[in-house]
Amino acid sequence: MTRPAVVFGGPADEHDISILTGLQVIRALGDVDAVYWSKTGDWHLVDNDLEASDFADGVPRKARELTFVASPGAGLMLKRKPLSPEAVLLACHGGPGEDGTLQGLFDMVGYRYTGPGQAASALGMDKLAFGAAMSAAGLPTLPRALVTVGDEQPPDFDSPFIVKPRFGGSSIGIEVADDWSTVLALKKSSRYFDQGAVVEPFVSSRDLQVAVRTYPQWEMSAIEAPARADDGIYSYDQKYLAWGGEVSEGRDLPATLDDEALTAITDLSRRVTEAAGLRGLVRIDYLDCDGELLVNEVNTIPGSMAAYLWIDPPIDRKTLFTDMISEALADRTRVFSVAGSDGTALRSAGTIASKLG
Amino acid sequence: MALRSFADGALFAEVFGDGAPSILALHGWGRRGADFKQSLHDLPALAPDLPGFGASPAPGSVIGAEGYADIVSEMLEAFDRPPVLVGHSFGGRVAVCLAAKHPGRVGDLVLTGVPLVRQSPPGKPKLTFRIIRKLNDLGLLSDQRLEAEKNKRGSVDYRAARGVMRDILVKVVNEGYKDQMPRVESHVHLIWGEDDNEVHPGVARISHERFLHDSSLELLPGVGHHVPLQAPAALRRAVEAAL
Repeated sequence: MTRPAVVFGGPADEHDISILTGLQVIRALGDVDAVYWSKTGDWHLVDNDLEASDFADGVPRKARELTFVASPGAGLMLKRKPLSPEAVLLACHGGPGEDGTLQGLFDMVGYRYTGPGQAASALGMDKLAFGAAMSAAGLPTLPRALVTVGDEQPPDFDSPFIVKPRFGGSSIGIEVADDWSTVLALKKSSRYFDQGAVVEPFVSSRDLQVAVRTYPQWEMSAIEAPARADDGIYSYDQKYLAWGGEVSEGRDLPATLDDEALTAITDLSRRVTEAAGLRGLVRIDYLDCDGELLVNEVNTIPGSMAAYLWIDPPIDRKTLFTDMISEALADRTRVFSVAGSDGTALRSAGTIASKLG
Repeated sequence: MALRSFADGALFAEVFGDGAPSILALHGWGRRGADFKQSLHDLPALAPDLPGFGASPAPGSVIGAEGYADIVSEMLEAFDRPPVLVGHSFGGRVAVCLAAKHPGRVGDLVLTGVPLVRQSPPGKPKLTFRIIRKLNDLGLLSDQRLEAEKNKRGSVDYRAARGVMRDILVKVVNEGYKDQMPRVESHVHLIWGEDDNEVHPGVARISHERFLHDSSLELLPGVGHHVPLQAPAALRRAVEAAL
């Protein structure tokens, strides 16, 4: 009998954090295949009871090598035999596991998987496109502009600026710049901006984060006001973690909000879900600027699957993850269509040479 | 609090307070300029991310504290008058080299947790590691395996450092500043955590008594190595006194 697989890791900056999420999911679900995607992009079937430290020096011992064959019905193969998971729970943060690359590959082999499909995953990872999509849908956002080296003209909002990698879902690489020339210098020197950088006005605000799930019905978690990474300087534990994701200290959960703000976030979250084509369990981040709510970004595979936010309504991890798999089984993200390609056009086409004339 | 670029983008520094800057604050290894936010946020200070940390790109080659001081010296142009130099740990190594090389261009120094003298000579690596290294030299053991062994044995800083920064760390931890300290003409205030286990207060005492000709020593009870984060108010008082 086939069972679900949990895929975690991946060739991404957030590889290590993804291992932590993946192991949490594996522990909560129990009867799954644990598929580790290494930093070099290789696939391995690993034991379900491994600890995070077993991955600290690379692929754990006794890992069995898998290959990936991108043909329908194939996918992950163990010694030429398809693994054939009933569905895949994706626990990869950042990079190709979250940005639509892996989702597209899974569509090609016919895997059912959790979270948004390829296009929505790609949109969620592109801050410029996501901001533009939200604006086009009439949702409130901060102005966001692409940083182009050689562009001596600053955007039409005031400094200080916040500069972010255009692609990527974490706070890695984000800086606050005092003036426009610093923005341009950062664009040139930071490897995080090689694939592009976007800039926004740096506003005084508090962050609000909420998880949303789309199965068995649309539902929203409690709202959190997380501690800001630039408020208290990084703790000692974070000394070597260039990751500003889940911070357990100083968290305000549930956040203090009046009814009006709660209603507004519920309404906005429904509209973001629809406008961005979201599915599964995602986290939506807002900025609260003195009561004015702005859509900031979406995290389509949030750290720890944002399970810690489901205190109201209270939903345990096993239920959350099982429901994600049920959703994947109930509905494919994408079915390729060949309608209209019934051979008629080919039969009446004549020779190719006649087309070239 | 926001970054500003200096030295054609070789350095990015946090800009604290308003008006013309009069303090230059240098952070410790693996940290960044934002470490001084709690102590200096409303004082006119520049706190660069030293090359290889935070937003500042790593140096192109293996340099020591002197090399870092040369890069940071480009920031001195941003000051109307010689700035008070604040140095924590690794940043203090750079501060001493900078003050020794440019005595007229820096004001007083406030140093905390700085390995000014070498605390103990490096020991010979253990026999098993020497064998592993030899096997790697002979091509009998992969670079990956050697790296794994290094990671197992190195300090937290060593394991976290990548590429050129790891070689810089090895170079820097073997440096002492007995030559530079006597060349510092400014007053040096040594403010040390009494419980600093990484750079023992004895280092401050020896430097104060034997190598610095104009210095003062202040010990902070119950404070460890990370004075900018653990005792920001005390550090701030020391900096204000130096202004």
